[in-house]
Amino acid sequence: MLSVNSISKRIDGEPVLRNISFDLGPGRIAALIGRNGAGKTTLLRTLIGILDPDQGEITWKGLSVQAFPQTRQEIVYVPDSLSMLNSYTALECAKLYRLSYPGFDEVHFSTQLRRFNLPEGKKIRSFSKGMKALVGILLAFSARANLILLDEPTNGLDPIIRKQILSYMMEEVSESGVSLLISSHQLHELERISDTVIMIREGQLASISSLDGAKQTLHKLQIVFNGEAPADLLNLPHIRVVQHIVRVYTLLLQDDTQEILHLLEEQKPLLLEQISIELDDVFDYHLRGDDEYVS
Amino acid sequence: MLKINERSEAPIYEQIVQGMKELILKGALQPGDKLPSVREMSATLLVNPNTVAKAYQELERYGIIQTLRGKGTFVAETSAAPGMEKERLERLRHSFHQLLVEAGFLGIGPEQLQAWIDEFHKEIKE
Repeated sequence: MLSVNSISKRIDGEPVLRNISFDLGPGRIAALIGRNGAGKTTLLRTLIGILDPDQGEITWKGLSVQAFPQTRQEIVYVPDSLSMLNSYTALECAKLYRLSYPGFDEVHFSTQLRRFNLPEGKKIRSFSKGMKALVGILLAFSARANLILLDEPTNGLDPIIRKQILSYMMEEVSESGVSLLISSHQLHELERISDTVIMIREGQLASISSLDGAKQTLHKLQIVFNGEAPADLLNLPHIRVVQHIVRVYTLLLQDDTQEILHLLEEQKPLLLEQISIELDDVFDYHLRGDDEYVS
Repeated sequence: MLKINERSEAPIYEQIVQGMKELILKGALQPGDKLPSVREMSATLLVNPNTVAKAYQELERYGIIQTLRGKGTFVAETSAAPGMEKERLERLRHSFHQLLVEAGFLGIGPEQLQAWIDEFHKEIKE
């Protein structure tokens, strides 16, 4: 059980994480979503203890990750690049992991290498990007830890290897009940596999929920005003204009939708229709800056 | 066989429940057929295992599938849970009533409804 209590972190004087708190229970798959530069990688590196938070505390089963290094035997971090393993073979990597993770399951690791046709004795440097990613995942799950932190695990991979990796991860989660915290921009992928969504925006927690939940509280409308668009209405806090082509506005609404719908109807628009919500809309609503360009 | 549509507004577990029902109705899955385990299904569909487990529980509650301890999960014989069948019928009647009310508001008459019934019937039987 991971518990993150109001952690903050500055790097070179700049606040990167601000007062972030959340819990993650056993057998959960959490998606970590945020814009590039929102602080996702810093958060993951702080959770595993590579970085120390300036304020706040991270505990694993009640013990501070910073004060008790042995807690880190139960948490594995898979960075987005495995270049530090380049000069080792897969089997040598396994030996390295064994030093940090005494429970490392060598039988499982070798079996999976064979299953995915990965050579045991060749240096990682000679592997393709997809093979490298796969080895990183196999090493992490073979460590038999209780929590795996994955930084963009399927980024830039071809669809076949991506499916292999996701499929292997689902097998392992069903079998061992390991928890995952996955940072990624592959929203469709995350929607299927995650049960919790942690969104961060400029180093702060923007929301935590299930993706289904996040989708259901949002509504998307297409509206054509009769004459001038009412600026005061479009600037209401729960309205976001996602697209504006000539007179056609596409809006996202959250929460008191009925009331806003009523206000919009009073404008006697030429067209007002609900359209279906996609995950990109959830991302857009929660994570886009207020001053960013709207097409 | 089963397909998850990311653009659908229906939650993923509901899509699995609906998909399985359709497969059974079309005869692609027959009473006594063994279903993939939660682990296999989750690895095939690339869906969270808890979501698959939730869908299986729902199907089991309706008496559509059955789990036999130590043997696996199977498509149930239709008479497996007569009590549930009654509840499902009642539920269907209720949804049908709601649909007709909605159709009334949209000005859809019995002829159009009959045409749709025939069309969907044909689709399901194929």
